[in-house]
Amino acid sequence: MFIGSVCLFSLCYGVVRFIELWKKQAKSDGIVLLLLCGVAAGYLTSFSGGWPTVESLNRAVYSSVSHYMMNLMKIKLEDQ
Amino acid sequence: MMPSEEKITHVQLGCLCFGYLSGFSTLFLLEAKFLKQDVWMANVLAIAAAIGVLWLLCYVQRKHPDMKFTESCEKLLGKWIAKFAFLIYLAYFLELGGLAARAISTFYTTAILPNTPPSVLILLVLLVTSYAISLGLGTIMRTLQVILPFFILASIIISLFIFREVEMNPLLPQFQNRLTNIIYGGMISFAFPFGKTVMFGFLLSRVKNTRKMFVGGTIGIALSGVYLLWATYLTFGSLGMSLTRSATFPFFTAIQLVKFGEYMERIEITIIGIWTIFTLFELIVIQYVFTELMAHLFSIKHTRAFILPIGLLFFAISFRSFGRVTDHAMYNYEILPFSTLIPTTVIPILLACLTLIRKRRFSQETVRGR
Repeated sequence: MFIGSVCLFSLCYGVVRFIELWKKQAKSDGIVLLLLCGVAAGYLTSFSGGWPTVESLNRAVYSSVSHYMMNLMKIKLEDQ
Repeated sequence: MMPSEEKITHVQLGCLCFGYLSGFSTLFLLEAKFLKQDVWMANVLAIAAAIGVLWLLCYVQRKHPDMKFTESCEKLLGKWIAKFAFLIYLAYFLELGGLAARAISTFYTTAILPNTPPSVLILLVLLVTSYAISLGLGTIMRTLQVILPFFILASIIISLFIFREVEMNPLLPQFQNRLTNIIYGGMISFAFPFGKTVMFGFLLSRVKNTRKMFVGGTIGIALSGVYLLWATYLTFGSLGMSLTRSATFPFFTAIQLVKFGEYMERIEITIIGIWTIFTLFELIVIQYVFTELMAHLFSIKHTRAFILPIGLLFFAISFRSFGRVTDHAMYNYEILPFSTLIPTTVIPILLACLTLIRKRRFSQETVRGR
């Protein structure tokens, strides 16, 4: 409910500001704003569970690098 | 446009540097849990590296005095490579913002507001930071300058009371870790908090006295390091090694031991306030620089309209990331030391090298021209 409200607010804000900026002839600003609000709203919906976040991307990219380096440096984090 | 074109002094830069780096640096004490009594070596390594990065950024700024950092990047790297570098920075800022927002919400839900959903806390925090950004850099700086003396006073009082609990030097015996462990501890400490210094590259063009900006920033970093080391010392001294390693928020647990006589307890409320305010400052700086960078990247003219959506984006990313405390901690241990290397180290070194090469080439051409 709470997240749904934030999601709806994000979309409404995006549309209102988009119209405002479009009227001011700042069309590219309006489009970027609408996209930004759309992405924020999209991340808040339940179907976006599989959308990549910075965390998931970094885990995918750096996990192998991290394991390799930690093996090389003989670092053990089991106790932490 | 954002009301942000105000200049700041090198003293204000130092204050901002201290507040921004200190944020919730003492919340988890991850490198202390990893290295125990040898942690100071890792912290000193990280502080030295952060000062090195600041020096590189100041060098690039001094050689391009009339340009913003983003413009210097475009001049040195070329338009498209610079745009790619900016995307890396945007991702880095989102990562830091997500970590900071999650850290503060985790702390609140664990320590004081167990029944409040983390999403509500994160949204409240990001609404506050969005409002602060709409007021501009000058207002943020002045607010920090007002709050900083209270922070210093509260920290000194609390430190004195915890210090009574320290019976023997907790940092002995020394040199119990291998060199690789200390280096890795340094990497953890550099990834968080000291590597965040790179953010100031985007603010250096706002500093009035370019000659003193390095000194101001260095003092901020050094004081932040002293604060972290002192907090670690007090935590080890009052809790001991094993309790420090098992506690989720060791410094907070140490502060909970503080009592004034027999009647005054719960002094930790003071430190909760301090952590909250400084984490807010950290998020404000991250969100502010993110907004500026995004405005440059997409040639946005009406930046003010983007402040709230960017806050909502940070909220959405934080909401979807670092859900569990253990995930958060393991990410800081295993991923963050590597994922932050490109934005915090590689790009500043590359920019400084390119500046040096261009300077030499220019001076050679000048000599040939004569």
